[in-house]
Amino acid sequence: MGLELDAVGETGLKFYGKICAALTHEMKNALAIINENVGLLEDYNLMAQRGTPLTPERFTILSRRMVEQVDRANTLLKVMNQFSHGVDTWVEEVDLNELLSFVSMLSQRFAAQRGVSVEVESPGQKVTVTTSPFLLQNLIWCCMDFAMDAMGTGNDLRLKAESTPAGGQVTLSASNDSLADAVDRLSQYCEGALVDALQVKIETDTRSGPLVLILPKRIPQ
Amino acid sequence: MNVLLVDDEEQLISALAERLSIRGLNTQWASTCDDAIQLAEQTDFEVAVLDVKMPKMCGIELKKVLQGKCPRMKFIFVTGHGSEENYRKGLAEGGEAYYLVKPLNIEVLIQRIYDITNT
Repeated sequence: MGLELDAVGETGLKFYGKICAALTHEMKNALAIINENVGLLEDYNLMAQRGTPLTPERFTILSRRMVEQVDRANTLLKVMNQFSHGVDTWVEEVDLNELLSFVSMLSQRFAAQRGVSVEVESPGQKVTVTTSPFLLQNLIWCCMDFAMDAMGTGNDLRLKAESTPAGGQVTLSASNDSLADAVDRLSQYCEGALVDALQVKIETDTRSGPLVLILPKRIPQ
Repeated sequence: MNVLLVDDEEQLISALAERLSIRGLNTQWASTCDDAIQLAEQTDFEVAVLDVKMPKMCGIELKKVLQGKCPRMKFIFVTGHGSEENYRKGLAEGGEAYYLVKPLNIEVLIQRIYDITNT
């Protein structure tokens, strides 16, 4: 019997895998830093035993680094936990600004690898829609992935959520206005079935404008 | 022996550099590829220890640039990816080089440095 996955499931699994890989990679970096600095502390200990004078400042630097990396690893674990719990409730009321901030945090490593900075514009007001939080995170991440590839290194990607009479919208803008020119490649990043499941309409201004995701107020449970 | 360390994690690379220096290796470090290239223009390094995944330029691309500056330079790659597939892929892409997985064992790294400079 072959393994069958629907398109939404497959794209969701790939998204989940990529995010988990990125977060665990960052955690490994934090542990590697702690490991190296603990090793250096052991070296200092040996040096002191052999009579080499050491200033307290050296130990202060090491302890600060280790505290910082423990905090970093702890934050990464919290983010991973929050991400994992995103599938607990399949459809619920979602604060779009919070979701954009969260996806932006998940995308940090991907953005850094491509030399792109991501900014979520400060909300003017609370914007909520009832939708699948995990699937919407997935779709926005796919759109960000497309945008970061389209805009190239050294540019800024801005995300903004706004309320509309019919629900809400999320706008992705590139500082070099490159998204519209590349929009024919968007389908390579965003699975059509995912867009349909969320009942999202994706629009772009062909005169070098931003990418706009138009969301309904509510999708069926 | 002059050793160049390159990793975007500054707190890692500076600690590693200090540990290698304590063990008698003349070590310099860089947390960006641009800084690494600049150092390679000033010093004839025998070995470079490069992180595979760095922002803007990966370790394998940096290797090609550094080889132009220091033709004698040998390379050791460090990766946070522990999968066998990534190891084989990196070996195929990077050519003759050593691969180590983070977190590093300093004694293993030093042994690899001496091994690679003796080949």
